[in-house]
Amino acid sequence: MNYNFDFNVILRNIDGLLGGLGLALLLAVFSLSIGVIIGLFAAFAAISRKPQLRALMIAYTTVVRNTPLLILIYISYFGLPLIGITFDREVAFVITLSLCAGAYMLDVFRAGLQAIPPGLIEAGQALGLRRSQIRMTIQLPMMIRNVLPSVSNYLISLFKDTSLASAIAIPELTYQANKITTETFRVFEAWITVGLIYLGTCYLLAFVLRRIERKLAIAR
Amino acid sequence: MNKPILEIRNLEKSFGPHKLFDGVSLDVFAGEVVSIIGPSGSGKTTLLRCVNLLEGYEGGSIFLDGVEIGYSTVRGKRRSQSEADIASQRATTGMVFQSFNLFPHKTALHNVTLGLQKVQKLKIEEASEIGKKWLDRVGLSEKFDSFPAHLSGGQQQRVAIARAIAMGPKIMLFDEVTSALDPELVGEVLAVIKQLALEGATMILVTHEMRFANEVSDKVVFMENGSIEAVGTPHEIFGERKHPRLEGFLSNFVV
Amino acid sequence: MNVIESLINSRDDVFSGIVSTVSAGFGAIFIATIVGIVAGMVLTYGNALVAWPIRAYVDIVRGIPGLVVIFISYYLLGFALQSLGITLDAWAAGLIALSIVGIADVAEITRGAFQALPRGQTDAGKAAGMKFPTILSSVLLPQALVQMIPPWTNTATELIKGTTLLSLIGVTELLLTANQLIARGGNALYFFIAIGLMFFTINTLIQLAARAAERKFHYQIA
Repeated sequence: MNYNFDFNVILRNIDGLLGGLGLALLLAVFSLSIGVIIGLFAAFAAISRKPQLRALMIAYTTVVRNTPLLILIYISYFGLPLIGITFDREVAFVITLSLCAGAYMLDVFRAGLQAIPPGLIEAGQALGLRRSQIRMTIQLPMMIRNVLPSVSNYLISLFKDTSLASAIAIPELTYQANKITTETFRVFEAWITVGLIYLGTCYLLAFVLRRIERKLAIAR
Repeated sequence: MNKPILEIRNLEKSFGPHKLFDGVSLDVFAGEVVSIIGPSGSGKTTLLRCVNLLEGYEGGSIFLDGVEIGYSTVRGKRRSQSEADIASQRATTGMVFQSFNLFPHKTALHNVTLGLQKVQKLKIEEASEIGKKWLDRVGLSEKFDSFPAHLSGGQQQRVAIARAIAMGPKIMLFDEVTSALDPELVGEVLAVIKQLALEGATMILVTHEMRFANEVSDKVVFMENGSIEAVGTPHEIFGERKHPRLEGFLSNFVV
Repeated sequence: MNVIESLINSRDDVFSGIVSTVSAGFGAIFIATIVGIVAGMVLTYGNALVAWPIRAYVDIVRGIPGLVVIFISYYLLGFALQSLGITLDAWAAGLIALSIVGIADVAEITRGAFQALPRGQTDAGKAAGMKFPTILSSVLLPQALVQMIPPWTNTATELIKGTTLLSLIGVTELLLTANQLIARGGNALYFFIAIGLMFFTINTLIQLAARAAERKFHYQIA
C-alpha cells in the first residue's frame, strides 16, 4: 500500500481540532445539565399517583429509546421550522440531546429513588414530615448518592453522541475531521488522530470522574 | 481394622500471610459418620473443601481409598494432578453445600441426572431411573419436575443431597447443610442424613447441630484455629468434654 | 395525505431503503451476537494472552463514537482494501462498522453476565466431577444467556438505530431515502416522523421478541 503519511497536516489544523473538541465537550456538558433537570422532574412524574402523568413518561422514554438520534436531530432542526419553530443549529442539537439525556436520567433517577429503603420514608412520615419535606430531605439526597456514578458515566456517552452534530454542520470534532479529509485527502492522519482524541478524552473523563467519586465517598 | 477410606495427612494451607493448617491429619473409615464441630474460622469448611479439591493446599497429602488425590510428587517436585484426574476424583466424592447450589434452570430431576449423564455418561433413561429413585428416597417423589425456585429450602437441600448421593460416591461431604435453613425445615434434612447414615454411608459432616452430631456420629472432631484439638466418640466429646476448650465452646449449645 | 401519497408513489425507493436498513441492522445484530458471546467468554475465562487483545479491542471501540467508527471503516478500510484491488461499498463498510461496535458491546454484556453468576454454581459442577467445558455448557452458559437478554435488547436497538448513521456515508437506507424524497418536494417534518415510526415499529418488534424469549427461558433464582 502506497501512502505517505504526513502528520504535519494535523499540526496545521490543530486549532480546528482542539476547537472542535472543546465544542463537543461544551455540547455534552450542556446536554447533561439540562437532561438532569428534565430527568429529575420526569422521575418524580413517573412515580406519581396520577396515571396520566405516568403514561406520559412511559411515552416519552419509549419514543426516545426507539427513535434514532439522527432522526430526532433532523426533526428539531429541519422539521420543526415547518410548523414555525426555528432554532439555531447548536440550540436544536442541545435541546434534542438533552431530551434524550432526560429520558435516560428518568430511568436512572427512578431506580435510584426505588433503591431507597421504604422504611426510611416511613420514618419520615412517622415524624410528621410532609411529602415535599420527605422528598427534599430524605429522597433527594439519598437518590443523588445512588445515581452519581451512572450520571457521570453518561457524560462520556453524551460526549460520543456529539459526533452526530456534524450531520447538521456544527463544527465539533467529527466535523473537523471530515473537513480536513475533504480539504487535504489525508484520510488516515485525520481519522486516526480524531479517533485517538475521542479515545483519550473518554478515558481522561473516566479517570477524572472516578477520582471525584472517590473523593466524595471519603468525604461521607 | 481395615485401611481408612479417607486419609488426610499433615495438611498445610495458608491464606496469604495467615497459616491456617499446619499439619492437620484425619482418618475416616468406610461406613463411618464423622462430624466436625468448632467455632467459625476454625477451618472446618476449608478442610472439607480440600478433600474434593475445591480448595488447594500447599503441603500434605490426601488419600482416597489408598490412592493419593489432588497432588502428586513428580521427580521430587510437588504438582497438581491433571484437571481430568481431579474431575474424576471429585466424581467419587459427593458434596452438599450450605447454600444448596442447585442449578436453577433445571428441574429437580434434571439437577440429579445432570452429573449422571455428563460425568458417568449414562443414558437419559437410566439416569432418570436412578434420579427418581433417590428423589423418592429423600421424600420428593412429587417434585421431579419442579424447579428449585418453587421448592422450599428444606426441599432444595434434599434435592441437593439426592444429586450428590445418586452418583454413588465413596464418601459424602456435608458442609453446614442446615445453617441456611429456616429452623422448621432443618428436621426434614437431618432426617434424610440420618437415614443415609443408618444405611452405612460414609460421611463427613461439618455442622453446628450438636444434638444431631451426638445422635448420628461415630466420631466427632473438634477444630479450632485450623487445628484438630480433640477427636473422640460423641460421648467423649459431648459428654465428658475432656478437652479444656470444649466446655467453653459447647456451652453455647444445648446438646 | 401528502406524505402517504409520496411514500406510496416512491414505494420502490422506500422498499429498498427498508431492505438496506433491515439488512445492515439485523446483519450487524447477528454477527455481533455470535462473535460477541464467544469474545465475552474468552474475556471471562481465557488466559491473559487471549483475553488481553479482546480487552484492548473492547476498550478502544467503546471510547470512539459509532459515527467515527463508520467513517474509519469507510475511508481507512476502504482505502486500504482498494490497494488490494477490493472495492468496499458503503453498505459493506457500514455493516462492518456496526458489527465492530456490536461485538464490543455484546462481549462486555457477556462478560458481565458470566461474572454475575454465583460461584456456587461452578462449585456444584466441580463437586459432581464435571470438567470445565461441561460446567460451562450445561450450567453456566444457559444461565448467562438468559441474564443477557435485557442488555442485549438494548444493543440490538442501538444497532438498528445506528443504521441511520450510514446515510452519512451515502448508503441509501431509510433516512437517506427520506431525505431524497424531501428534496423532491416533501414535508420534512412528516417524512421524518413517518420513518421515525418505522424505526419505532422495528425496535418494538425486537423488544417484544426478546421479552417472549425471556419469558420462555426464564427461571427464577431460588
